[in-house]
Amino acid sequence: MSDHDKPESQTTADRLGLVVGGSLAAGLDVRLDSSRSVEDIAVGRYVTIQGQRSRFFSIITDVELRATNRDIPWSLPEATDDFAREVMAGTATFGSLHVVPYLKVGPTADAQPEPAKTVPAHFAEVREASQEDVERVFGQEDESHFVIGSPLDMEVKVCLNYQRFAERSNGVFGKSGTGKTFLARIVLASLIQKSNVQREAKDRVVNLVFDMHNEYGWKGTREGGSGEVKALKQLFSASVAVFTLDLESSRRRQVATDAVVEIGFDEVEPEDIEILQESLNLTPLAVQAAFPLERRFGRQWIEKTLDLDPSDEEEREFLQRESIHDSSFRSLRRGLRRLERLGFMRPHTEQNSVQTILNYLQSGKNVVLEFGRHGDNITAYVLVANLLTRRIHERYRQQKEAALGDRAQEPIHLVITIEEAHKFLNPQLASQTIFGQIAREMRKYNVTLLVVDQRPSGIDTEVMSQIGTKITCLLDSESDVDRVLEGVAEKRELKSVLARLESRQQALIFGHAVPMPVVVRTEEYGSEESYGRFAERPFRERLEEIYSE
Amino acid sequence: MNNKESSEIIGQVVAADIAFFTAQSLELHRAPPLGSLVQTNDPTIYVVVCDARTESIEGRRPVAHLSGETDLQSFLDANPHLRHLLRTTFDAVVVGHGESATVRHYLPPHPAPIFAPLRLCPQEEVARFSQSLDFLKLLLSAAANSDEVAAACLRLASAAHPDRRAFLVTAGKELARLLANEPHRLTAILRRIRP
Repeated sequence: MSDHDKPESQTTADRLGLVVGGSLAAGLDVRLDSSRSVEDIAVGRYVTIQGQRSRFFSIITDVELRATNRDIPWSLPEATDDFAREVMAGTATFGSLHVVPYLKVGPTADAQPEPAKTVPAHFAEVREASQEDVERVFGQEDESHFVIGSPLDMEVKVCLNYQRFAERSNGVFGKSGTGKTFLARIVLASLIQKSNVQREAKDRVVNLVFDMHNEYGWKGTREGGSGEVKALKQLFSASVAVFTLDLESSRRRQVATDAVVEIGFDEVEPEDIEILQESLNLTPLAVQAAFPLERRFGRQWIEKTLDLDPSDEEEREFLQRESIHDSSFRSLRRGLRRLERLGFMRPHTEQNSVQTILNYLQSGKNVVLEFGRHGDNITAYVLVANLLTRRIHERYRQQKEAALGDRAQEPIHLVITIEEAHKFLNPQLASQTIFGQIAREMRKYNVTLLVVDQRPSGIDTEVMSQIGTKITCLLDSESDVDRVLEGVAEKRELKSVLARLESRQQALIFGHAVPMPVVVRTEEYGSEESYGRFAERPFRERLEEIYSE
Repeated sequence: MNNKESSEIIGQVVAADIAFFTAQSLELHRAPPLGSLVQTNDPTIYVVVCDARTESIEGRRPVAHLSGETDLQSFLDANPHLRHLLRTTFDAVVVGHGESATVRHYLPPHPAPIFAPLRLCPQEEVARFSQSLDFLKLLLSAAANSDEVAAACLRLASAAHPDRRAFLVTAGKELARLLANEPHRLTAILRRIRP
C-alpha cells in the first residue's frame, strides 16, 4: 500500500470529479461530480489527481458549464424546479474544470515532486489538495523555507525556498494599492530572518533597500492606509541600519537613523547623468556633452560646468572643438542645476557614503536608505540608487574576483531592493544601468535584485526573463500581464488566474523559488503575533539550540 | 417467497412473446394499474402493465342499453349474462426475469407460458426489483405511450422506497442519460414524476 492510499472515509469528501480528457500542453478537462457545486470552486485552487502510479499536483484554471447535449439546457421550461435541476446535475448538465498539471510525485513516500511530463489516464480521480499535499510541494517552514502566505481556502502555509529565492533576481509586481510594498516588506523581513539563522556565511544575505516612500526602515503605513506597522528596524534592531537622505524628514517622523547619506558632485559621473536623460529632460546630445566635460575637468566637472562661461573665448573654442552645440550645453547645464537643488547634493563630502554602506553590508547589517521628501522626486531616486549601486557592485566585483573562487573570501550575498523599477530597467536604459547588468548576470558577483514595480510592461524583456521568482498581485493592463507572464509555459491559464486575483492580499507566485505556480493569501502582517513570527521564534530556537548543545 | 405465494392471483397470460404479453384479468374491470409491476412464477418474469381494455368475448361491439339503472353495478346486476360475454385484458412489457434469487433486468430466454398465473408484485419485491434502473431502457423502447408508462411505473415504484424523492432523483438521472438526445421527452417525463 502506497502512502497515497487513504482510508475509505476520506475518499468521497474531497473528491471533485474525474479526468475526462485534455492534454499536457492544453491542460486537462475534469468532469465535476454532481454532488459538487461549481459555485464552490475557485480558479487558482490546488487539486491533486491520483493516477495509477503517480500523483499529479495541478491548479484549477477555468470552470465551465457543459451539457451532454447542446439542446438540453435550452429545452427546459423557464421555471425549472429543484427536482429537474437536481436530476440534470451531473447527468445531462454538469460542471467541468480545466486543470493544469504541474508536478508529478512518484508512488513512494520519499519521492520528490518533479515537473509533470505526462498526464494521468482517463477517469483518474481529482481531489482537493490536502494540507499534507501542499506541504509536500512547498516545504515546511524551516531555516531554508519562509512562509509567504496560504493557498486560497486553505490553512496550510506556502513556503518559498530561501536559497533559491536569494540566488536569482526577483520581482514583486502589482498595480498601485494591491499591497506590493506590504509583500515586499514580508519578503525582506523573511530574508533577514532566514539569513540570521544560517550557520554558514556563504548562505547569508544582506539587503540594501532604496526606500522611496519610507516604508521599510522604521515603520510603514498599514495596508489600507490607516495606522502604522513596524518595519524592518523595529523587527530586527540589531541587524538593520536606517540611512537617510533627508535627516529633517526622518527626525519629523521620529526615526532613529544610523547615518545621513550625502552625495558629492564629484561622485557623479556622466554615466549617472545618462540614465537621468528622461527625468532631467535632456537631449541626447546634451548627455553626450557630459563626457568631454568630465574628461576636461575631472572629478569637479559638474561644478566647473556650472561655472563655465560660454561667452568666454577660450571656453567657446573648447566647446566647438568637442562639437558641443550651444543648445546642448545649455540643456545639460539646466539639468545639472536641477541636481544642484537636490537637498542631499554637496559640492564635496568628507564621508564616503558608498564605503559606509559597504561597511555595514559587509558586517552583515541590512541597510535601508530612506529618501524622505526626495522620494517623490524620481530624479533623486534614480540618481542615488544608480550611483550607489554602481559603486557597490564595482566593489563586489573586485572582491569576488580577488576571492578567486574561495567562497569564504567572497563578499556576503547582497540583495538590492528598488522600487519603480521600470525607471531603471526600461528597454532604453536596461543596457546602460547597473541594474540591467545585475539582472542579467544573475548572481555572478553575489548581487541580485528585488524589483518592486507597478508597471512591468515598462521593464525590458530580457531583464524580465532573468527575474527568477515573480510575486504578482493584481494587474489591470493587458500589456503588464503579458510582460509578467512572458516565457511562462502555461501563460494562457495563468493569465485567467492572474486576472481574477482579489485587489488586496492575494498574489500569484511563480518561478525559481516555487516548484509550481501558486496563488496565496499573503501572510497577515501588522499584529503583535505577526511581528513575533519574525522576531521571537528564531531567538527562541537559538536559545533551544544553545541549551540542547 | 411467502409474499409471492400469499399475494393473490390477478390474471392469466393469454398471449406472449419474449418482450411483451397480454393477460386476462380474473375479474371484469379489475386490471392492475398502469405502470404496476406484475410477475409470473416458474419461470419468474417481471412485466410492467402498459395498457388494458374491457371488450366483448365474441369480438362484437357492445351496444348501450340502459333501462332505468343509474349506476354501473345495478346495470350489471340487472343483466348478469353480460359478465360472461365481456372480459378485461391487459398488456405488459417484459422488463426482467429472475433465476433463483437474482433479478436480471433484461429479456428472458423464453416467453411466458400461456395460462401462467400472474401476481401483482408486493412492495418489497418492487423495491428489490427497482434497486437497479436498467429496466427503464426496455420500458422506454416499448410500444406507444412508453413515456406515460415509465412515469407511472416510477411513481408507483417510488412508494416502495423509504426515501421517495431520492429514488425519483436517481431514476430521473437514469432517464437523463437515456434520453440525452431527446430533451423534450425527458422533460415531459420529469414533469410527470416530480415528487
